[in-house]
Amino acid sequence: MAEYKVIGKGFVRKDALDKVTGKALYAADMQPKGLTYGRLLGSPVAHGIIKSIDTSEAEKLEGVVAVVTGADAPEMRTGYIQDRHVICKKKVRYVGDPVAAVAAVTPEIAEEALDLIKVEYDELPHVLDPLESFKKDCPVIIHEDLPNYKTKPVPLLTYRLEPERKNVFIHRKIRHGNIEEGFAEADFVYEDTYTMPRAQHCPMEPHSCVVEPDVNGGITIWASEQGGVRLKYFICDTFGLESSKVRFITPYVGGGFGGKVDLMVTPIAVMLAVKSGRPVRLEMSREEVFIHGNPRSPAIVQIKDGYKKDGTLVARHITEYINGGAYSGHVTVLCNDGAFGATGTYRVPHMKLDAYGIHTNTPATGPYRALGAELLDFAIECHMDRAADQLGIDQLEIRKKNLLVDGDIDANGQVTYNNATMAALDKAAEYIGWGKDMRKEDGPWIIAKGLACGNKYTMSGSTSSIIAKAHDDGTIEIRHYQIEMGQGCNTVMAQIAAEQFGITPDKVKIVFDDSAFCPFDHGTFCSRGTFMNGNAVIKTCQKLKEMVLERGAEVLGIPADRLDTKNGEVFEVASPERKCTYKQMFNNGGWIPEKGELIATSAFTYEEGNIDAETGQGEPVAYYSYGAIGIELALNRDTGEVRILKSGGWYDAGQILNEKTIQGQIDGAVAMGIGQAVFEETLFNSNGKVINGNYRDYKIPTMLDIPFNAGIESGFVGEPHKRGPYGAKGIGEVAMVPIMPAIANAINNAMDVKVNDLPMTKERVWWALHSK
Amino acid sequence: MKQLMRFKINGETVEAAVLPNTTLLNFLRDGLGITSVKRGCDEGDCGACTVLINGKGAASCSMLAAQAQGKEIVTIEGLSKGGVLSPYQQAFVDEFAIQCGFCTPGMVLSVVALLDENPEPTEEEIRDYLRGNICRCTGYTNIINAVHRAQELLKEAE
Repeated sequence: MAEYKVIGKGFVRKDALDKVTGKALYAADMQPKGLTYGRLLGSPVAHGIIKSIDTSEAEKLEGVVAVVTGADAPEMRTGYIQDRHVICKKKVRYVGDPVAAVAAVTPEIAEEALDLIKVEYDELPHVLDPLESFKKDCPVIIHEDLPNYKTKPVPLLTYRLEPERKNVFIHRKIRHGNIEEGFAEADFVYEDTYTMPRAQHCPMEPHSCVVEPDVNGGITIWASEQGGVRLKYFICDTFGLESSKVRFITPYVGGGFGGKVDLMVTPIAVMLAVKSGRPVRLEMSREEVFIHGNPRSPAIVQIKDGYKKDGTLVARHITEYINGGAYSGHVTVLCNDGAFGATGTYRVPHMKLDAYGIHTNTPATGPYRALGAELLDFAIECHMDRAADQLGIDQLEIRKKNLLVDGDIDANGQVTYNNATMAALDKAAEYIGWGKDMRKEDGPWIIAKGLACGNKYTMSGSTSSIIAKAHDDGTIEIRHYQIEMGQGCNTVMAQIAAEQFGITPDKVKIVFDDSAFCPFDHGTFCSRGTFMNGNAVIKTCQKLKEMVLERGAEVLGIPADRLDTKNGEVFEVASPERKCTYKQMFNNGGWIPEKGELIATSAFTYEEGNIDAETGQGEPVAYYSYGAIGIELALNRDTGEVRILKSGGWYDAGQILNEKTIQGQIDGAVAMGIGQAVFEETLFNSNGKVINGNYRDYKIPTMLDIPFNAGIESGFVGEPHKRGPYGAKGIGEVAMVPIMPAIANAINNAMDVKVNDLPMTKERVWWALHSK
Repeated sequence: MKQLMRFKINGETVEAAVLPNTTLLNFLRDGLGITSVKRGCDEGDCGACTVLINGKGAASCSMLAAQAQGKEIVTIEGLSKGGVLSPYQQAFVDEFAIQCGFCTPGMVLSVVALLDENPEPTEEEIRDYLRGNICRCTGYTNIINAVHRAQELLKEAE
């Protein structure tokens, strides 16, 4: 690998001082003068028609500044499939679906006003189960107008409905090779079904926003979101606002993990602020986050595999049922792109995949730190173990036999390159001592091991833009709209700019996430941030560097092509003593005659992909990151309790940009994955109400639930990616993908009766142990 | 009706008119603009709103401002002196024990209370003491390292 001065090194986080002193501001910390407090009123029924709504009493309450209902909401619906009004107009489709909102001078008055709003409903039959909803004769139709809804074009995405199945809003297909021929070649066919539940992201910061109207018809929005400035344009489109009049600011975000890719409360806050003419803060309660926080789309995945006797995979048929909840939201993209989770790891000569996004009368769901790849990866990795056991082949060997290696054609028809899964898997297996002491007993505890691989793509068809400015003190300023939600993007963007200008990252100033200063970005999701924004930083820095050298040429009287810059100076390459400082290039006040300031802007746009709508064949994936994890755990035969003892993950994320921040993301993914594997599931009663919307009834890992530090190991394999910035790829999502199946596989290696469903709670494990 | 209450916050005496049913969290955030105290769950489960009251960690969402009258309240602003980070804060910076930062003020304050009670905790003791402070980003590994680093820095400062 190339030698860098800054890239790869563990430079201190750009946001560390803000955050450790309490100075870091998040959306709900904004306190414009005259701030009012918003609250939402949700539907108590899972499916119904709003018969009448009377807000007169609420409006009369002293201290209430605005009450809004569906009547105030724009006619235009939101979503890629435009299926959702900002507030319900006629119909409610889940328990909690907003029917009204209030802003008042105190939160207590707002709460009191909600009780004064009278809503009458004609209740309709509801459907909570996606497989019931999928049926052709399902008596409940959630969106009667689904075929007539408008859609927004998304690169490489085909909107396909199933006319006979009224609640299916998207159907994604892969047809690779010939599935019948594939199964005809197989010596052994194995079929099973796996499920992943509605898990919650539980970002520490609830979804929240503050909206302040100004006297010129403009508004300023501070929002906790990860969709980026793209969401400003959603607001403008929905409300018919001129984009120049909307200032969209995303201050520090207290965790996203996919749960903040869509706007939840912000458009409602816009309605309240515009109606009252006063700033309003609308902050979800923790229970509301559990309801509307865009939790993971639960999925049921059926897999039928065909193998040769020696374990060679020849055919794979996958049918995936994704519960999108009441509104399709991001699940269109998730259903489409999540399919790459099934294409990136194994060589499958014949694949047939059908993935369905299905409406139910539950809150809308969405991406969760892998945009659907984790759903298929979990099923596939569990299935490989079962197939190996049946064939009498080692679980590691069946993987190694079928892993894609560089040069292979994957099930998208795309050529595999920069894929180091094999090396990652070998490291993971070595770490947990695969092959020896595979199952030990120690009193009531059974010690067992499990392995899993994983991949995460980023899709083609998006843009990131950057503005870069040279200051007279030699500082380079980078303005971007990638969301700093903890992953450390401000730090790695500074490192990239520093490497470009031969300076240290502390000489890079980051201005982020304010549409008044920062340029367009498609949003921070799908592992696109580092890849897309990093490339845009390089491109823009190169443009700025040309401007700097051109100015240096004027000052030094040396042609620009003989100059370079480092440490805040421009110098002649052949005789470095001929140089000038940035200060000398500017007049006092930081200006240059005729030129003004040195500011460059450019965009990195990746639109090279293509895909056939019927077969899914083409070149849809911009890159894959890869990983493999080995787990050793102890399972208590008396209680069903699972304790993770060791977790070792190795990853191919291309060139590492900051060895410390990437480590942090991996460690965090391990803890999150443990929670997903053994604790976390949102529960409903039969009326469709979330019944465990708090941290006591929905447990997430505390410090006591994960291995001691000595039991967590990780490392990196692979080469710099040919298109990544300095060869970097994303890590945030792929770090999470293999952990759930690796834990599931270890649990199942400890037991005779197998469990195919997450979470593998104490209760579920106990029943499996005692169901002989 | 609002009542006049007196507090000692980060060493300064504060007098304010407060409704008797106002939580300490709401008083600090909306009343005084001390937004480093974070609202994570409002139910005492997550630890993001932790403050020190007479040196002990407390969930400010789950107590009334009235209950804190006359007591020493410390928020993260009270740790650094003259723009210099306290050893606890410096340790979090050094060990990359910060990601989204939302749990950080509460977590650091709990570490202050921990090391005050038990200056040389084992990893097991750290995990047990800090179990009420949830972090969803870091997986806790670097936070454990930061506690050990804070022990070192405190010793060096002696």
